[in-house]
Amino acid sequence: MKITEVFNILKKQGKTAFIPFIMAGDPSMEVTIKSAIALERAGAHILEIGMPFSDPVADGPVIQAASERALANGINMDKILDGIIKLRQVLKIPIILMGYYNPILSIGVENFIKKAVNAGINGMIVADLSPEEGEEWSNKLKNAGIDPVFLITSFSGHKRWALIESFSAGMVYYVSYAGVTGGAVMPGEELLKALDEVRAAIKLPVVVGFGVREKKAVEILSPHCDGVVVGSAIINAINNGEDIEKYVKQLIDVN
Amino acid sequence: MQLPNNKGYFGNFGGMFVPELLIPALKNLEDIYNNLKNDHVFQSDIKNLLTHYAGRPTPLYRAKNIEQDIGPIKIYLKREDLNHTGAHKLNNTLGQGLLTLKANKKKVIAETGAGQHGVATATAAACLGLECTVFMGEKDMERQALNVRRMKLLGAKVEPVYSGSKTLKDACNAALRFWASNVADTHYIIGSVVGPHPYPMLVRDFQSVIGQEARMQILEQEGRLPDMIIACVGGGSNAIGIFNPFFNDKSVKFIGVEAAGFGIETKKHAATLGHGRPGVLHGSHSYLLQDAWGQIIEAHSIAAGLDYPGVGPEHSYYKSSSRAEYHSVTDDEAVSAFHWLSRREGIIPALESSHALAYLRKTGHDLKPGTVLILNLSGRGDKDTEPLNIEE
Repeated sequence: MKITEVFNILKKQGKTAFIPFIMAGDPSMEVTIKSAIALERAGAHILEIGMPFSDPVADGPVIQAASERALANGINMDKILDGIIKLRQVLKIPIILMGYYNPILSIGVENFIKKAVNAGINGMIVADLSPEEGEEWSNKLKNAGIDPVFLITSFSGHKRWALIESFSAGMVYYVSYAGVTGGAVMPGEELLKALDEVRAAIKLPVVVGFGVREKKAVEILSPHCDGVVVGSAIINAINNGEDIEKYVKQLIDVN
Repeated sequence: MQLPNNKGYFGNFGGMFVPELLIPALKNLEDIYNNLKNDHVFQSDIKNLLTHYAGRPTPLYRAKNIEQDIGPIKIYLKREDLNHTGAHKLNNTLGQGLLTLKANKKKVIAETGAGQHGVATATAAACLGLECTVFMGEKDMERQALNVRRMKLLGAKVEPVYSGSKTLKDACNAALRFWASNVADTHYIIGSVVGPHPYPMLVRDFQSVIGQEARMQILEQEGRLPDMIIACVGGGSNAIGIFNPFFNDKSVKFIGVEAAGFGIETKKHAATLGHGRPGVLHGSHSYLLQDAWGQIIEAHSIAAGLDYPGVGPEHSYYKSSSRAEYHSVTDDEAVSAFHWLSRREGIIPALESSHALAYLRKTGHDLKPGTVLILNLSGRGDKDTEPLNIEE
């Protein structure tokens, strides 16, 4: 299923997408695959899989630690994509890979895209690639049928919204606060107002991420966005050996 | 050709590879800087501080004693060790400190390896009335304890960084993360010609005072341009600072000296240009030490200021266009040169600068008689006497 189709269906049902984030290879690709399947069963609509990087400057302590564990256990890009080929055979929901530019550049952008297409990747988020450096990347992904997803923040300003939307496909990702991943912020009026403005201005679905970890936050955000990303909280749950399906079910309403 | 171009590229190197959150701040910084670059008041503010506060110009000193050890050549030392705070770093922090005021921000942050940039930022902050926080790897805090004490005396907060290799690279990560959370009221004073555009450009411009002075001084003392300039390269700010004003003087050869650490073959080194390959780290496309999968490898050097797996994009451009040559010397060679200059000239050099000296000592005898060269003595070595456990 494509990202766009997911949002079309949810729109008709009046629902918001639930988008969990897990780290590839933390602690092993087997666990990542098992968690992905459990998350789909629990009601995830789209899955984000992180590609670990040694220097994740946009991430807070939880995702930093997850990256370090995965790298220490010997994960690399080929193992991630091989694992996703297996996962793709059973997983129906779209998969978005999220990471940093250098590991992609290191194996070559064209080579990476070819492998990502082969693995059935639906979308890509690169944390340190903004429109300033992302034009060629965006075009190449679109040509290959993968949705490039760019980030919007409260600092981006109206002028950049159109630029970011034109570079993106499938959805855009709204960063809920100024900072790194893994905070715990209850959405305030300012954020909800900003989301309403962004949604009114652009056509692509708007998902919100960074700092969402409680059921209450998901509930507050849902009417103001098209999807909610939960990352650090889920990574913690996996790392603590919790029943991931049960954990996610209490986070979202699955009808 | 204008370097960098308007997208912040030096040839294929440079750019602005940062999370969206930081882009508006970088664009704002670029606008403010471009408006001030040719502003007479701003330039005279900088000049005043450099002259009356930092003590510039620094001398260009002919080191006749070490000439005797090397051969019939003329060796000039550009004495950045005599700049206030003991290294070239203050040239940049005073400039960026003034930019902070122009941007109406009251807080600054910095990363530091050897502590020299941290001390220089803390100093500029005290001088200009800014609140200062410095991020420093735990390992560096141990080996550069003197500079930690200096920063605290100057009123800065020193924030230890416990992640990764606990050195400069991780201090940069921590500073970038903190900046993302505090970008509205805080300016990040990057300490070298690294990071996203416009940093490599503005740090170069602020450090170019080294080369501008050296050019005038050598013309005055020798009546001609030098044949060669030698400088150590970690991130590369002292080297770019002295190279850049000679860029169009094609007869002047540039030599950058990187840290070979325990030896290139041990893989414990920081010779990024000599033995790395291009990639993206800390906001720019440049040479990096990385593994086959694009993960950054920990660097090693006895000199904390060179212990960094990246290098400024302008150096990558100088390398790829053959404008400069880059070589490396080991920890042991640098330490030996540290003692050599101390005993022979009465100047205790920083371990970072000792790399440039070691290269000169190793290869200087092959130079043509009559060669005139300038070596950038980027900092003084008081900070290094304790880690080396020097007794006499």
